Order: sequence, then structure tokens, then C-alpha cells
Amino acid sequence: MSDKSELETEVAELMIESLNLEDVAVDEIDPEAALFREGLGLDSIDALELSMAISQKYGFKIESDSKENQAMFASLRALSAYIETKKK
Amino acid sequence: MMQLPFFSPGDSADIAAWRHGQDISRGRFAGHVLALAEQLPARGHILNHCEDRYRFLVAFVAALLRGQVSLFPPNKAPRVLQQLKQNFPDVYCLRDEGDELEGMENCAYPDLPAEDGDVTALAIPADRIAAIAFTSGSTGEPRPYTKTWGGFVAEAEVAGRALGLRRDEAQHRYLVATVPAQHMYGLITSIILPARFRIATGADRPFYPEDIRKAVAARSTPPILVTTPVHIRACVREQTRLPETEFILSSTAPLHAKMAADAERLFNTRVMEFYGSTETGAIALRRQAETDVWHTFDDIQVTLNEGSFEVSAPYFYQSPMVLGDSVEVLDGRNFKLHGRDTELIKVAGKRAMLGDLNHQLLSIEGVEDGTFFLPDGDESGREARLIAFVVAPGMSKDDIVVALRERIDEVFLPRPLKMVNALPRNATGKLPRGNLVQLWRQATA
Repeated sequence: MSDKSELETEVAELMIESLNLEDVAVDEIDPEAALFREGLGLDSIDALELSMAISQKYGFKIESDSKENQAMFASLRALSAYIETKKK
Repeated sequence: MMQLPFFSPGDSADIAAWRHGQDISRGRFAGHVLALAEQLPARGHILNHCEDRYRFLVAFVAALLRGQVSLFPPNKAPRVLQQLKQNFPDVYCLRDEGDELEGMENCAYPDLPAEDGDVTALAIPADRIAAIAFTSGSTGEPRPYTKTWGGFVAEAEVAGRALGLRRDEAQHRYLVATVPAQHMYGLITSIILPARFRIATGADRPFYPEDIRKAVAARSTPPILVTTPVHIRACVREQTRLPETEFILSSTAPLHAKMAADAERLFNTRVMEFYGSTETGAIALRRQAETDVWHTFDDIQVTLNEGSFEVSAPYFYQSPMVLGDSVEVLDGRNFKLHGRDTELIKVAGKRAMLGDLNHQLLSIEGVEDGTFFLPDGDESGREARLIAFVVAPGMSKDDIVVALRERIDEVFLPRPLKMVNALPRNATGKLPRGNLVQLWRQATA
């Protein structure tokens, strides 16, 4: 499993906290693995919860109508990279 | 048998739908439906998997004209689809951008010519079976409920009247829906109601609060917003600057009174709720700003028969229908909901309804969401105590326990009370017991 950047670790912690994944440790989240369906098996309501937590912490709003946003929840790495470009 | 037109009386230039910023007239819609109807494979059952709501609509009517029954399974899990295929061997899946469904014959939604068609050709016998909707069923086997075209129209018309809509509205309205058309609530509100009340349904399905804001802003007149408590909570929490809506309609789970009041104030609109089920469709309406009593639509009668909640309507395929909810029936047209969890629980020899306890928990100022949960007893044989999962940003456990102590018997106080950021609700906002069991395991791991 590849190492995580500082932001990736922070986002992983946010995810665990906002989605009640208390039994998942940050180390257990593969930054390249799919967050939805296969990987952590999150569903669309989780996406909504996670989006609220992200907008609260990083100060921007998530939308689903552009192509880059469709790919945003592909993995922890993709999500962190997306946050990096948007955060205020 | 009487033919029932798809649309309420009107003109072929009337607006049927809205897609990618463009109005689509009834005439152009008829062109699309008639062209697609010719291309559908010759089968008896269709699984309409189109994610674009306009394509779903075209395919739904095309299938109706061809006499193909639309199947609505409770979910798309491989096991469920396998069962569906066993019971309806000729079923095929019509899809657009979505995934192909495993083990199904998948047909792609074709390109259709941009030509107008004859709107009067969109008429369907009232007694034709339009759909079979399935509940997940507590024992594993999905249970089927048959819906006729005439039944759908009757439901949409009483629902629309309850909302104060008129069939002869001079100006067409727009409708924005966050719910999928494949859910019975989404089907009646975003597909059939619009056709019967001159409403242009939107092809889009906004999801995040910012999507919803943009979708509402994109319409030229304030639209009706059809959504769920989950989305309303997200918009309230993010303080979304929602542009003007005609009203917000919520269903799938009851909205807590405080959330309804917050949404009305924040979005400066009325928040209405439908109560319904897969078995009965939508049957009643309330606006929490005015009352917590559900008032049934015209033609719909409710009664308690030896403790069972019975609903009757002249247009049901089977009437009366028995629902599992715990209710207090005030009279034939009015009732109060005690919660969807009818489970009777026993702690230290005392009985309580889970729904009632949840109601008490949710009535605490500052509690956004929450539920009681009785885990299965462990090996030690110790009696299980109630647990509560509570979403209440800014409150401490002690605050909540103090407030609960005022409302419920000591033995029902949660041990422990777990503060969480969200409850593990499924895509329709419900809380399956399995999700709570999992949450509890995570909390104690």
C-alpha cells in the first residue's frame, strides 16, 4: 500500500469521522482503492454526508454536474487532489 | 375498456418536460414515444433502468403502449435481479448511461428522430397493468404489488388535488426531483403527476445541495421541488441559498417538525409531506407548519381493524391494503404516525414501541436525527439494553440524557447513547435493522 500525503491522511480522518467508520483505521484505507461499491462500500447517502463534511471543513461546495466531479470519489487520492485544487 | 390519455386535456404545444435547458413539447415527446415503441423488443416485461428522467419517461410510456409491464425491484442487487429473472423470464433491461445489469439482457436506449408525433395516440386502457412494484419483504423474498394505468392516474389526481394543483392551470409549472423515477414516490410525483397537471418534469436528478440550488435556479419560474428528508437536511445544514420554489414536497421517511420548520424559514416556502408505501402509493399529506396530522387524499379511507392499519381506495388493485405502521387513527380521513418501527420492545418487563421512543428522542430541541436500537442479546444471557444513536451537533450526551429522562421511563434510557454524525440510512432514507447492527458493531469494536 502506498504512503499517504498529509492531506490524504486528513481527508481519511474526516471520512472516518463523518461516516462513522469507527472500526476503520486511517492506515487501512488504500489511497488508490475505490471508495464506493468495491472498496469501502459507501453509498450515495454517504456521498452526501461526506460532501457536507468537506464543504464545512474546506469551504467549497461540491457539485455532481461536471466530469471531474464524477471522478472525485474514485479514491482517497482522487478526492484529496480535488480538495487541493478547490480549498480556500 | 376505457382508454385513458397519458396527458390531461391540453395542446400538443404544451410543455411536457425540461432537459438540458430546453423545453420539450407534448408533440415532440409523442414523437419520441411512438418511435421508441416501435423499437422495443417483443417482450412482456421491462426493467426501465434509464437514469435520465426524460428517457425513463419516454420508455415508460412506450412500454405502456406496447402492453409491457414495468418491473420495479426493491434494489439492483445481483440476487434480487436473479430472482426477478426467474419469476419473469422474458424481462429485459433498457438502459442509458448507467451500468449494464448483471445477468440481464441489456438494451441501449436508441437515438430517436427529432420529430413531432400524434399526442392523441398516447392513450392506454385504464385497466392495463402498468407496473409491478416490489417491497423488500422482511423474509427475503420480494413481494409484488400490481399497479394499473388507471390506478396510477387516479393516485396522481387525488395527490395533485391535495397539493392544491389544478388540471386547467393557465401557465405550466416546472418540477425538480432529487428522487429516482424508479422509486414509487419518484414515479408518481415526477412522471405521472406532471402529465396530469401541466407540469414539465426535469430530466435532471440533482443530488448535492449545490446541484439542487442550480437546478431550481435554472427554471424560468419557481419550480416544485420533490425531495427527501436526507436532502432537506443537507440543504439546511449547508444553509443553501435555494432560490424561490413553489413548494417543497418530501417523502420516504417522516420529516421531523423542527427540520420542516427550519426548511420553511430558510427557503421561504411551504414544506409538504406525502405519506405512502410501495403497497398503496401516496395516500396522505401534511404540512408540519400547521399540523402533525396526516390528512388522506380524496377517496382514501383509513381505519384500525384489530390493531392493523387498513387503507382503502376505489382505485387500488386490492383493497383494503394493510400497512405495518403504528398509527393513531383519528377518523376515516385523518391519522397520526407513531413511527415506522412498529417493533414492540421489552426491557425489564416494561413494553414500549420503538417508534414512540424515537418520536420522543426527535422532539428534543437540537436533535437533528436519531434512533433507538435494541441489539440482540449476547452470549452471557444478560438482558440487552436499548442503545441510541443520535445526531445532534453542538449538544452533549448529558444534555440529551437529561432531556430524555424527562420524556421516557428510566428503563428505556439508552446505555450507551452514541453521538454520531449521521445515521446509516439507505438510498430511500430508511434505516434497515442490518445497518444499525453494523453501526453498533463498529461502535463497540
